Amino acid sequence: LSLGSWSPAFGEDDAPTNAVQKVTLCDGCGNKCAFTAYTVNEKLWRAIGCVGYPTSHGFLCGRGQGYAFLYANENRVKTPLKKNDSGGFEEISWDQACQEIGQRLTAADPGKIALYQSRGNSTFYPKRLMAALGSANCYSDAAIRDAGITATIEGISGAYPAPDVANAKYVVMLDKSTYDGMRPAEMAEFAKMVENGGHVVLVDSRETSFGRICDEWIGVKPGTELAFLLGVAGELVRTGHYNKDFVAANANGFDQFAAAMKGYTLDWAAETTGAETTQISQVAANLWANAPAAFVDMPWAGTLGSGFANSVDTVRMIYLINAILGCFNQKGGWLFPNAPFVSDEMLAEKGIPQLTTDASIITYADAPLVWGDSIIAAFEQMQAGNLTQMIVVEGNPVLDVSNGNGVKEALGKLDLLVVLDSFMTETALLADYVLPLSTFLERTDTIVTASGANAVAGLRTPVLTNTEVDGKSIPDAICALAAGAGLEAAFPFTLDDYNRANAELMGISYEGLLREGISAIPGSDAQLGTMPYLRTASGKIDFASPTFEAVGLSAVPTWTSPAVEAVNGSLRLMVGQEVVFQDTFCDASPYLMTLVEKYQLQQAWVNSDTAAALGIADGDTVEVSSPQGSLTVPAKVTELIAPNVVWMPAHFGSIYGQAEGTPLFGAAPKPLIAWQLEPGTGAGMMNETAVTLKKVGA
Amino acid sequence: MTYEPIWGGIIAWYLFLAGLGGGAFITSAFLKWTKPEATTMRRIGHIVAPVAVCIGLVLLMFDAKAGFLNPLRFALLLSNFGSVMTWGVVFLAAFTIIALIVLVLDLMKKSVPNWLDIVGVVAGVCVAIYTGVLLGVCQTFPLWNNALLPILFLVSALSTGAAAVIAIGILVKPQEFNEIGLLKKTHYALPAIEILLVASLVFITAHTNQAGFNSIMNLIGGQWGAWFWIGFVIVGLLAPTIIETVTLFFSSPQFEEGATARWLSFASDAGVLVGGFLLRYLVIVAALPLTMVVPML
Amino acid sequence: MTRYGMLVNTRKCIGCYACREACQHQNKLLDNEPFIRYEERVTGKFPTTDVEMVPMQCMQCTDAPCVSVCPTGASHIGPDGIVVIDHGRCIGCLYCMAACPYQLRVRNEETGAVDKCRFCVAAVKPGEAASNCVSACPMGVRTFGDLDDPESNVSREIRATGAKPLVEGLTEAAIYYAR
Ligand SMILES: Nc1nc2c(c(=O)[nH]1)N[C@H]1C(S)=C(S)[C@@H](COP(=O)(O)OP(=O)(O)OC[C@H]3O[C@@H](n4cnc5c(=O)[nH]c(N)nc54)[C@H](O)[C@@H]3O)O[C@H]1N2
Ligand SMILES: Nc1nc2c(c(=O)[nH]1)N[C@H]1C(S)=C(S)[C@@H](COP(=O)(O)OP(=O)(O)OC[C@H]3O[C@@H](n4cnc5c(=O)[nH]c(N)nc54)[C@H](O)[C@@H]3O)O[C@H]1N2
Ligand code: SF4
Ligand code: SF4
Ligand code: SF4
Ligand code: SF4
Ligand code: SF4
Ligand SMILES: [Mo]
Repeated sequence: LSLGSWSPAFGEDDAPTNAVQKVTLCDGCGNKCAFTAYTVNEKLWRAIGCVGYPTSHGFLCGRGQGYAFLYANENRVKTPLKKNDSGGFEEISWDQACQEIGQRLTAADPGKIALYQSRGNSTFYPKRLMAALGSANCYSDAAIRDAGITATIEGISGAYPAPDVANAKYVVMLDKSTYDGMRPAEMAEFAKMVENGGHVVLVDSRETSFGRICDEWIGVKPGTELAFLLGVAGELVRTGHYNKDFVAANANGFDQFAAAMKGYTLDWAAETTGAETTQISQVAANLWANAPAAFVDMPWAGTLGSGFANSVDTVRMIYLINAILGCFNQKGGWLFPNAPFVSDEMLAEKGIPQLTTDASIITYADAPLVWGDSIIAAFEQMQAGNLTQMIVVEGNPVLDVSNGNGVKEALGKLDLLVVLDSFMTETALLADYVLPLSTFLERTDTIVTASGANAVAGLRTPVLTNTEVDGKSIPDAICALAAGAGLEAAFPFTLDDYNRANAELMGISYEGLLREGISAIPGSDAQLGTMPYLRTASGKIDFASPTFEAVGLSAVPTWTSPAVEAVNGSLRLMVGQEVVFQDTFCDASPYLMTLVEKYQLQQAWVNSDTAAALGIADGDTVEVSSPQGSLTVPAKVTELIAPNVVWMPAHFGSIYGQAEGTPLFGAAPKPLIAWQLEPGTGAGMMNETAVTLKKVGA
Repeated sequence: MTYEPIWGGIIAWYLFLAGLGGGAFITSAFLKWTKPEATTMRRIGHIVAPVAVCIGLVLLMFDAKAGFLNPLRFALLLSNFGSVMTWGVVFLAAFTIIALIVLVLDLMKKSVPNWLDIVGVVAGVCVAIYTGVLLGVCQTFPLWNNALLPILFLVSALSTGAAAVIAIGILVKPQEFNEIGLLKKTHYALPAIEILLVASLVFITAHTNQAGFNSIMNLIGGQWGAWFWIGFVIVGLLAPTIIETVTLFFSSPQFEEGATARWLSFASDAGVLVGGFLLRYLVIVAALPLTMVVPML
Repeated sequence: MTRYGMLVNTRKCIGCYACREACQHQNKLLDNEPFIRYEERVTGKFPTTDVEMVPMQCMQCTDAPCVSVCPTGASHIGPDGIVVIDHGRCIGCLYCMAACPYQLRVRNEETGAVDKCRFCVAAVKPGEAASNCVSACPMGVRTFGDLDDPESNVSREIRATGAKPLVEGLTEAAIYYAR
């Protein structure tokens, strides 16, 4: 035995010959990127994004890579749990849980049962159970997420864009944080674009991680990007720098729009946003010079979807500026793929019978632009006693929805709270029953589609097994609940049947999808040089919108100040996404959590001058207070944020995923935000809060 | 990024005990050559030397977790003669063997040949110097990577070795304590030399580069400032020097030979030991690496 | 001769951490045992700032202090110039960690042995994909290949970008940075 042969060097045994390959979908955020999972002995060895999938283009983001370590977390909910009289949880069987829950649901007033599901996995199943129970009260996270965007696009055109970043020459990235980058496909495309000599300008109150590759950062005052866009549009219209042929062919009410825009001068926009007049005129000039391979990017959700009192018009301005640049369905502009349309009627023909209820949803009465579904309105109604039973599927509203204390109070008034989740969340702790779900690595979900230049179907299937957890997939868990309620007749088909029916209606082979994990949908490619199908009454893009006018809003976009101003020493609270986290659920991955601790990603950002005035040094613990409450968090004093603002990542201050008994890490900012509703959409205005900041112990 | 020291207390103990062992052996040899009748003190040194070094080695093995879990791997320590640590192992092994032989001879009341003492002294000096060179080859730590550190550690080793022998001697055989004047005077000089060396180390390191400057600031200000000034400088260097100055030069021979003087001297030796340990500890934890501050970060 | 090396183009790095997480999968690392560390440099003052993210991992030094100090020979330079650690020989004395000028070694808290970027020794064998950190990077920050072959991608990219080791003249690092 020579000393050298004691054992191999690290690395030499690293290429396993027994790796199993399978394509599945990431669940690190709503993008659901497709990737090939290589597993060796029930562990993930490599996760490589699929090249042909619109969101991944061959890559996973860091969050996706790290979230896949979910199996390393041992703190799972392992069996169904029932709250006992002393407030603790007892393990029970699935059968018992479903019987008891089923009886309590069928005994309830159907109009008072609510569903909250935020992560968008297999939503068909929980909603169908609700319909079978006779309730229409299905809530998503739209009101704290993208309600403002969908409402606006529905209102003025009905056609949803996908940016062609790789071929663009000039992009204005507005209020878009790591999200853009974190759609790995877009990251890769931005890298290509910059390599090809394209330019990116970041308009944001904070220099996000993407700033590292941007040419220019314009640090506007929070909530004023509408003014920035009005200034840009005014300049374009005054100088005649817009595509007149496109406007003539496709615009409705352009003259009214143009007349209004002319009033927004560069000086006014500069004054309002804090940017230089030359910066605004430069952006306008560059957009025009590079059109149609130029656009203002639309950040999907977060800040614009539910951020400010003026978000709806910000979204309108992005859409309309890109329209007058003539970049629709042009190389390097906005593409409009033909996403497949699958209706309930079509499914019925394929053996998935329709199931509807004539009940109507309890929601916010003054949100005429959206069809309903404001989770904030739901919690207000719950406080008033109008909702008395709730099922939460993969959601943690206590930390994710504004006014966390109000949410807790509302949940406390329920007769029944059932939470389906993989981990013991803050919401699950309040539940009467907790049902364990398997994680995305262990289960099958319903088929999804993702769109870019074309639409591609994807299917999540298991890559690992966990024998220690008695968890079910969402479809299985919902079917079990339906059986407990005596409603098994509502699901006279299997998940396989449902997925196959959808696949066939999309024109793809289900066997092929099962084998490959993803499948491009024939005929979905965006057609360059054509106009997308518009669903407005005018058949055109409504630059002056009858829909908006009809609900008492201005026909053309107008300047509205943000609801909150930082005055008398108060600061604006901005909440956003941190690069490796999506909301609060990522802390279930210990690998992402160590990253957060190592790089102190939980810190609240404060501009150095603002901090100096308040006597705050980098790393100091600060107290952030709003009328809703206060919390303490370490401060990051930085040049990368505008003065008089505090930015906090939205994800921390959560308990699950961590060993029991460990202290809270970071702080959850959402309880600082009041329940407030944007007129027209009922969106949560998550960035309309003023706070005060003070050093702890000073 | 904040920098976390790679080594901590256990390695500081190891370096301290290794040096102390070497110093104790040298003290015994010194006593043999200058005061042959102080046999108890000499024996104390012979006992302290291998015991201290062995405890240090055990600590080292404990700290080397992968080896601790697989003890056979320690056999590989002699693989790379380009490594200071390998040489350290050679010196420590040689020294421990010699020290044990000497101890056995001493306990058997046999005379220790002079050549063996000389070889032992050389090995002891090597061990003491090695503890400094071990750190010194880490080029990116300006606080370690200089010629002064091995000398400083050597002087400190002699000082702590002597202090240990004298302190135990005071407890075990007080009357011998009164007869070792030359050792006391020699020992007295060591903290004074150390003060000079430390001052130079601080001055030179602070002027090397940013990392050196930051390390020194870390050492004499910052997080470790209080330990440095109170623990190392005052307790470990100044107090012993003042006590010994007073007892050796400014007090009557009667006082010098009385119990109070003995206990004062005991206190001063204890101070030297505390200082000796803190010197290693602080040098280990306060050092900052070069690439943390240059050229981009 | 083959001497493997890498180019890291920080002008493209947005600091998404994908490389580090992918490496941890591939090498079965503990959560607190990353091979890749990031340093961020912010210069300027609001609103004109510049920010750079610098991912770092073992530089695979030709003149490797970690190797020369390792008493057991566990750390050594293998074929292709890759600095490797024989985990069966490592006693965990951490001497190499102290000697690495870039602090790019980590200790495995379970075994006590030291580890660091392996340059995916196995993965560069013919027919295998490149190192995981390279293939996982959505921004194309990293290029891997043979520095001794002037026609390799990595050599050409280094010439084109004027990339240099992080610290010149220190350890003959095999990782080049375009900044
Ligand atoms: N102020 C402010 N508030 C915000 C946001 C913001 O930016 N600012 N973001 C908003 C946005 S955009 C959104 S989309 C919402 C998101 O809100 P939610 O979608 O509710 O997000 P989470 O509650 O964090 O995650 C849902 C649950 O999934 C569980 N889970 C994790 N992994 C798995 C798994 O593999 N399987 C199963 N079954 N469960 C799993 C987690 O334990 C967690 O409870 O929050 C919104 N709230
Ligand atoms: N890393 C990461 N990526 C994610 C998610 C995640 O949790 N983490 N979640 C996904 C989901 S569900 C969503 S909804 C999207 C949301 O993704 P984004 O739409 O990017 O939302 P945020 O990151 O919340 O906010 C975007 C940025 O707007 C800036 N901002 C805030 N207020 C203002 C303002 O008044 N003016 C200007 N100019 N800028 C402002 C902030 O700097 C913030 O970073 O991200 C998706 N991707
Ligand atoms: S963007 Fe990242 S976290 Fe989200 S699905 Fe894709 S890889 Fe996963
Ligand atoms: S994956 Fe690429 S872009 Fe992301 S941190 Fe690593 S090197 Fe930078
Ligand atoms: S970077 Fe550090 S660990 Fe890697 S070869 Fe160089 S000295 Fe050794
Ligand atoms: S820790 Fe292991 S690899 Fe490092 S020097 Fe010691 S024996 Fe060598
Ligand atoms: S080369 Fe391999 S071992 Fe090194 S950082 Fe990249 S993935 Fe990890
Ligand atoms: Mo979202």
